Amino acid sequence: MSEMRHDGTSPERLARVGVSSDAVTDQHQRAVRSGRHRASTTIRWLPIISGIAVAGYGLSRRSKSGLLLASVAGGAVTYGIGRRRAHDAPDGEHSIRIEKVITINKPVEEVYRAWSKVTDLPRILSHLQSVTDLGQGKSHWVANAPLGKTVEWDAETMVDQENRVISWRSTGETAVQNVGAVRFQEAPNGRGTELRVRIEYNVPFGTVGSAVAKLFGEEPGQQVEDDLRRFKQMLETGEVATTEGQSRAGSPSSRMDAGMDKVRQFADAAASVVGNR
Amino acid sequence: MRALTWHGTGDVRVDNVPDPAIINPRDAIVRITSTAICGSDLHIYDGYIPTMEPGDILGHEFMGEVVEVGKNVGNLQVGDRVVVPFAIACGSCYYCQHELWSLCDNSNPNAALADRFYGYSGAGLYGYSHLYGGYAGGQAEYARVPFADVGPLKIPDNLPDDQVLFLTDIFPTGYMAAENCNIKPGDIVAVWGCGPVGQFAIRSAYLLGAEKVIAIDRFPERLRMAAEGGNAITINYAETPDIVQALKDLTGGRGPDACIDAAGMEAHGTGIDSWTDRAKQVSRVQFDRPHVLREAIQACGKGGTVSIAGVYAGYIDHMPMGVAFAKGLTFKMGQTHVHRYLRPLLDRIEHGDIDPSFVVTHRLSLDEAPHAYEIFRDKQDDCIKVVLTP
Repeated sequence: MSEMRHDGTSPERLARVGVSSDAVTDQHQRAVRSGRHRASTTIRWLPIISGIAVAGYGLSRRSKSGLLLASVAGGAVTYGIGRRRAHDAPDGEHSIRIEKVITINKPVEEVYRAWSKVTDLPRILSHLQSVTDLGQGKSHWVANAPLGKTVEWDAETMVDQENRVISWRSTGETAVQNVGAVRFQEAPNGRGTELRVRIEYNVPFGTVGSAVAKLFGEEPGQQVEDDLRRFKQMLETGEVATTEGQSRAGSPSSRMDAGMDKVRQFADAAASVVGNR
Repeated sequence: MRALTWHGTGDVRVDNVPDPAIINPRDAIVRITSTAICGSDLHIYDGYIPTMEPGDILGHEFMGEVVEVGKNVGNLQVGDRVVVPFAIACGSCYYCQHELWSLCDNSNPNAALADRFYGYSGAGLYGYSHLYGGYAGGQAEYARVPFADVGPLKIPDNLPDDQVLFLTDIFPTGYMAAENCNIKPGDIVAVWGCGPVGQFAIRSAYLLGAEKVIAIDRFPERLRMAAEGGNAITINYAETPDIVQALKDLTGGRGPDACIDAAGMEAHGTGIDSWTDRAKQVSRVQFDRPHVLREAIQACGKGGTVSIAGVYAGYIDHMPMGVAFAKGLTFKMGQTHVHRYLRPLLDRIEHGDIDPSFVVTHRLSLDEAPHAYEIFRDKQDDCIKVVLTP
């Protein structure tokens, strides 16, 4: 899968996902701009408050992972303060673009059909709570946000070309103004369908907020990647692979502990690579 | 139920844990009648496999009786006796449909984690770290078997557990190692490591038509098994200063046509490189000790194949790539595509071509599993293969 990118909009890249770029770019920029101006004072304070809380927790753990957590959370505090001083930053500063692609071993028609049933998506995409079809290409979405919160938005379909592309944008008041497109393309020699997703949205907590969220396993690019994988699993196998609820000794370690263990192990692995070069 | 769980390096315990339950519609629950400790379990025991968590149930070589099936498992019934491949495969992704079962796209719930380590995720494995899915293993009284409509193979009642248990891993692993050698008439195959996988690789190389198999180890009981049952020419590397030269001498100066590394990341050796590898591994600068791999590359004849059955986990340095390039070697490796070999190798067993029970040296109860790990690791009491009975 491709990497998440944090840069601004470029018409070439939109064109690559098969969307009429001018329309999407304009709408996206309007969406991001208006969303930023609507960002509430609470949202600007949140990194400060949650940063202090998380840093405190991290320090109380008195471990390497705790210290790592504390230092990242400390960054959130600094960020929050800086953000309050400089909330008139240039447009697009806090927009995130995610591009992911996955190959699904099913014909294009089947993949398109499954994606078109938006109200079914929450059954597959774990980060969505619900999608309500409001008719006439409009829908209402509720998604899980970092730190146990939810975000909601109305969306309208902009382009819907059967077996080729579906694109949408959010409308009205929401913390996450977003615009996105899904492109369906036949893979070579009967290898199924290449499903390419591109989503752009403004970030309620900013980029450092996103780094903290990453420690909680809610890093946005990862969400999309996980969701695509689940979508593929559901289409190919009829179920989503899981170990939740299986046997083990003792209670499963908390999400936090497991997440931190993994972060530490990544660091070890990285050190191993560096040590070898 | 009782299960063997991991709590840290050198620390495995038999704990009481909740019984497994059907979670997905293609799951089955198997009551385990026999389960074995694999050499690759020792990598976990010794703390060299990342992403283990205390309480994880180990074990990926198990068989037993189906006691429950999910609603989408149409091919199995309660009471069926089955062996379960160690790799979990969905059967419907591109890789499964092309017989690359251990590279299944869909069976690793932690695929994102494996992506970060390895670029792509392979199949989930039983009891083999969260990197490989975090599935509970089969050194237990019961196990949950995902995609049970694809993996488990029904076993006729007349074949005892000891004869079919190793279809789950080491027999297909040794067989695939030999198959990867692309053996032609007259070929001489050298096998490093006479543990269980090496023993099956030796026999499989002969089954596939090798002219001669040369087996390399230092433990007398393992060399004896390779020579007596396996018909291999043996080299005790502890008594042989120059393995590469010894192999040249045994092959008319040509070098082996194929070299099988059946040792993997915890290879022992006597050279300076093996001590620096050990220091790097202990300090976690390097996951693997690639002494055998280097030696196999050095020894392999021109145009030959290096077939890697032993597990490697990370980055390794000082690989003689110039040597490999100069000789035009082929490398073949990877987790075994067990599903591909289940039926053909069961046929071989039924036909009497091989009786895999030869490799068993110790039979113990599941409760004795911590002791079993210890004697297997330390090769006490000439231990080669342990089978546990829950």
